[in-house]
Amino acid sequence: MNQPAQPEANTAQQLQALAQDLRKLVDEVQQTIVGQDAVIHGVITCLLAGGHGLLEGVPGLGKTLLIRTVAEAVSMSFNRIQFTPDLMPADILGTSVLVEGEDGSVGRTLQYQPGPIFANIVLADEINRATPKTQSAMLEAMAEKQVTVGGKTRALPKPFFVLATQNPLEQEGTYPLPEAQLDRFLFKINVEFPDEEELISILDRTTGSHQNEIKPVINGERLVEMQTLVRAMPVTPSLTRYVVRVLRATHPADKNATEGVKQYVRFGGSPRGAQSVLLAARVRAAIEGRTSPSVEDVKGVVPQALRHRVLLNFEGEAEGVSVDAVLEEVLAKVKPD
Amino acid sequence: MSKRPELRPIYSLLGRVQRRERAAEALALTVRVALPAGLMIAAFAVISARLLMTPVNWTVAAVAPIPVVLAWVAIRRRSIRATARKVDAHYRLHDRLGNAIEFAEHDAKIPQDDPRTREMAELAIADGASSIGGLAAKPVVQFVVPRPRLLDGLALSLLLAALLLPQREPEQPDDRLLSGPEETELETLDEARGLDMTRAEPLREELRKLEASKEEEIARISNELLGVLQDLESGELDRADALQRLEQLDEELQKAEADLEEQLEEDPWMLAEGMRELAEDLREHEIMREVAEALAKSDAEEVEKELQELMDRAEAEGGDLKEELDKALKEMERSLSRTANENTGTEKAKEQAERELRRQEKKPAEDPEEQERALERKKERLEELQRQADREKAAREKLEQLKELSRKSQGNSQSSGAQQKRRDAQQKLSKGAGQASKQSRQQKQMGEVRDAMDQAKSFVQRSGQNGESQNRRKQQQKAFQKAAKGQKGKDGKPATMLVEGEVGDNPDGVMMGEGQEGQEGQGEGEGEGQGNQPGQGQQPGAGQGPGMGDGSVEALGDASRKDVDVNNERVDAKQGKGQTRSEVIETASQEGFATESYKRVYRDYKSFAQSAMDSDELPEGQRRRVKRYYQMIQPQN
Repeated sequence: MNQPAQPEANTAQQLQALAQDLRKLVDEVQQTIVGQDAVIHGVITCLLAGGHGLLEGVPGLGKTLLIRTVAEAVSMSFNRIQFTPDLMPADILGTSVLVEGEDGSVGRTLQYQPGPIFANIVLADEINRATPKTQSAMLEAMAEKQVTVGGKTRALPKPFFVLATQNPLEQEGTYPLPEAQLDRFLFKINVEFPDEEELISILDRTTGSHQNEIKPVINGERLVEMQTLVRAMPVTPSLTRYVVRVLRATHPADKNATEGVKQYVRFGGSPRGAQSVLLAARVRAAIEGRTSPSVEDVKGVVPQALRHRVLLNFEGEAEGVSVDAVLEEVLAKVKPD
Repeated sequence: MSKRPELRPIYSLLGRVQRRERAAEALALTVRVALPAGLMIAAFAVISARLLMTPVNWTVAAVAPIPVVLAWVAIRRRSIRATARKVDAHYRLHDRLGNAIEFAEHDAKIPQDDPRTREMAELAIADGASSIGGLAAKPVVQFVVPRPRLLDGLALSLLLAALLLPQREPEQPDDRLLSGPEETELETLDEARGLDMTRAEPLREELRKLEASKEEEIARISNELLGVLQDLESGELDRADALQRLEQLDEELQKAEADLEEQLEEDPWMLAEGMRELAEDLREHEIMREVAEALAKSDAEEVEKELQELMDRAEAEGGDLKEELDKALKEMERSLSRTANENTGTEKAKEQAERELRRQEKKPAEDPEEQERALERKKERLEELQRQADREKAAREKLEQLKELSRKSQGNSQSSGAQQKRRDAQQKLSKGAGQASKQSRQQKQMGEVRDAMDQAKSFVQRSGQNGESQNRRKQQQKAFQKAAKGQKGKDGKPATMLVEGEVGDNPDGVMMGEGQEGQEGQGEGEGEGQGNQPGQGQQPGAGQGPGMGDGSVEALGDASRKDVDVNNERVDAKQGKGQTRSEVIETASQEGFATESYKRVYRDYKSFAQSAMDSDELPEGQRRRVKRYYQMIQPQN
C-alpha cells in the first residue's frame, strides 16, 4: 500500500460487535440444544453467509428443534413446512383464492394467499418426502428469493433462509433432491448422534419440568448488517487460488485430482461450491473475531460446502465410499502457495 | 518491493526460519539421500575394484552425493509465503503473518467496493505485526536426524558384502599357463620386453607377403619393416629407436610414393579396376582361367606369359581352341570397353571446382588475405582434379588401346599378312595387359606398405603405453603360477587337471581329445601337452577341440625343462553364435579379405553404398572416394 490508511476504529468495533453477537447467539441456542456445536455453527454460518442449509440426520436428533431455536433467537418470522408426498407447490408458494366481497357476495375477487414460504426462516422438514414437482417449487425461491404464482412474481422477505432437513435412513417413499436443488444449499450439515454425556444432558433438560425460553439476541436487520460486513472481509489472493485448486481437484479430469477422485467421482463441485467455501470461510473467521480467513477456515468448511456437490459414480456408490473421505484426501493433497 | 516498517520483524523472522529450513533440509537430505547413495556408490566402487580391477580411489565418489544435496538445498527457491504459512500453522495464528505480508504486497488486489475491506486489510496487517512478539524460528523448524530406514541398512549391507569380496586376479590363467615351461619362457621374455608380439603377427604376415613382391622398393621397405619388428622383439631396438627407424622408413616410403606418382601416366586405380573386372569376366572362360587368376593377383609377368602362351598355342592348333580364344578375347574387348567408358565423376568434380573458383573470383572474401588463401585452395583443387582427369584420360586410352588390340587379336584369316598382324597385336596385347597389371600392382602394394607402416607405428606406440600394465599383469600371472604349482601333489596325491588338445605320451596319464597325438610340427593348435618323459609331448599340438583327461602325476611337468619350440600364436576362440559383422571385418583386416563371410559382408555394404550414391546427392569427388574405398577393400580370390 503506497499510503497506508489508518484503519477506522469503527470497522474494528463492528467486527468485535459481530463476534460478540454471534457468541451470544450461539450461547442462546446452546441453552436449548445440547452439544452439536458443529451443527449450530453450520446453521449460523448459513445465516451469516445468506445461504440455505440442509441438515441430514436420523430422526430424533433435534434438527427441527435446532432450527426453530435459531429462528427464535434471531427474532425473525419462521414457518415450518412438513413435506409429504401429497404436498403441492401451491401449498408452499400460496395460491389465489376467491374472497367474499364486502357485501357478502361470493367469488367476486381473486386474492393471493401467501404460502408458508413467505417467512424469514423456512423450515422444510423432511424435504425429500415431497415429490420432485413440489421440490422444484423451492428452486426459484431458494435461488432468487422470489416466487412466481399466477404469472406474478413476488419477492420473499429479507433475509430469507431455507433450512431443510432430511432423513438418510428411510428411502422408501422419498424423492432424492435433484442436483440443481442440492447445489442451492450453502451447506449440507450432518447431524451426528450425541455422545453419552450429551445424551444425559438432553434427558435432564427435556424430561423434567424445566422450560427454557429463548430470548431473541439479534433481529433481521442486524443479521443483514452482519452479512454485509462478512462479505466485506478481505481475502488474500493465495487463499482464493487455494479454494479454486481444491474445487478443481474434486473433478476427475483435473491434474490435481487424487486417486480417490479419479476412481469414485462422477462430477466435482460447481463454481457455486467455491463461492460457498469462500463465503463460509469468511464467516468462520468473523465468528472467531479475525479480520481475514485462513487456510484452516477453508479446510474447516470444505466438507459441509462440497459434500452435496461432489457426485460419486456407480463404483463409488457401490463401494459405499464417503464423499467426506474423498474431500479429506483432496485437502491432504492440494497445498496452498 | 519496499517492505513496510511494521512488517520488518515478520520478514526477519521468516528469513531466520528459512535459514533453519535449509539447514534442516540439508541435514535430512544428507542422511536420507546422500548417505545411502554414498554407501551404494562406495559398494559399487569396491565391487568394481575387486572384480574389474578399477582403481580403488574411485570409492572417493561416495562423497559426491553430499555436495549434490547441499547444492540442491542452497539453490532451491523458497516461498516466503509458504514459510509464513508454516510459522502460522506452528503457532496457530490462522495465517495472521502470511495474510499480513500478502495484503501488504498485493495492495492493488484488495477490492475497493467497500471501504471496510481495505480497513480490514489494514487491520489484518496490524494484527500480523502485533502477533510477531514472542515468536521464534527455533521451535518452528526442529533439527531432527532422520531415523535409519531399510534402505540405509541395505546400502550398508551391500558395502559390507562388497568389502568381503575377494580381490580377483587380473586374468585367470588357463591350464596352459600352469602346465609347462613354454609359457614360462614366454613370460620371461615378454616381461623383459614389455611387448606382446602376438599382436603384431598379422602385420608381420602381411609384410612377409610384401617382402616377396617383385617391386624392388616395396620388397625392400617391407623387409626393413620386418627387420625393425624383429629387432624390437629381440630387444636390439628399444621403442624409441624403433620409432625413429620407422620414421626413416616412412620418409623413404614417401619418396617411393612420390616417384611412383610421377612415373604413372595413367590412373592406376582405373587400370586396377579394369584389370579386376577383366579377371572377373575372363574367369567364365575355361581357357582364360589362369590368365584371370594372374590378373586377379596383379602378377604382371604371369599375365603376360600366360596370355602369350595361350595365344601362341591357339594360333598353332587352331580349331576349337582358337574359337574359344576368340570368344574370350571378345569378352575382354567388352570388359575393357566397359571400364574405359565408366564415368568416374572427375569431370563433373572438375567443372564444379571451376565454378567454385569463378564464384570465388566474382565474390571475393572481405579479407584480402582470406580471399588469396581461398583462391589458392580452389586453384590447387582444380589443378589436382585436372591432373586426375588427365591420368584417367590416359588410362582410358590405354584401356581402349588394349581393347583395340584384343579386337585385332581375333580372327581366322590364314593369309600371311593377316597372321602377322594378328601375332603383332597379340604380342602387344600380352605386353599391354602385363604392363597394366604391373601398374595396378605397384599402386596396390604401395598402399599396402603404407598401411603396414601405419600399423607398425601404431603397434610400437601402443606397446609402449601398454608395457607397464602388461608387465604388472604378467607378474601377477607368474605369481599365480607359482601359487598353483605349490599346491600340486598336496598330501601326496596326484593332481588332476583339464588340458586342451594334444597331450604327449605319458605312462601315467590317459588322454581323451580330438587332437592328434605324438605328431610333430602340426602347425597351429591350441593344445599343448607336457609329459614327464623326456623328449615327448613337447611340440605344439594340432588339436583344436576341447580335450579332457587325467594329467600325469606331474601335471605341471618338469619346471626345469625348457627345450620347447617357442612360437607365438594368436588364438581367437569362436564363441557364441558366430561372428558378428564387425568381427568379420576386424578379422578380414587382420587376416585378409578372402573369407566367404567377408565376401557376404562386402557385397551387402557395397550394394548399400551404391544405392546411397544413386539416391543421395553426393559431390563427385566424394563419390569417387567411396568407389575407390570399396575397390581397396574388395574381397580377394
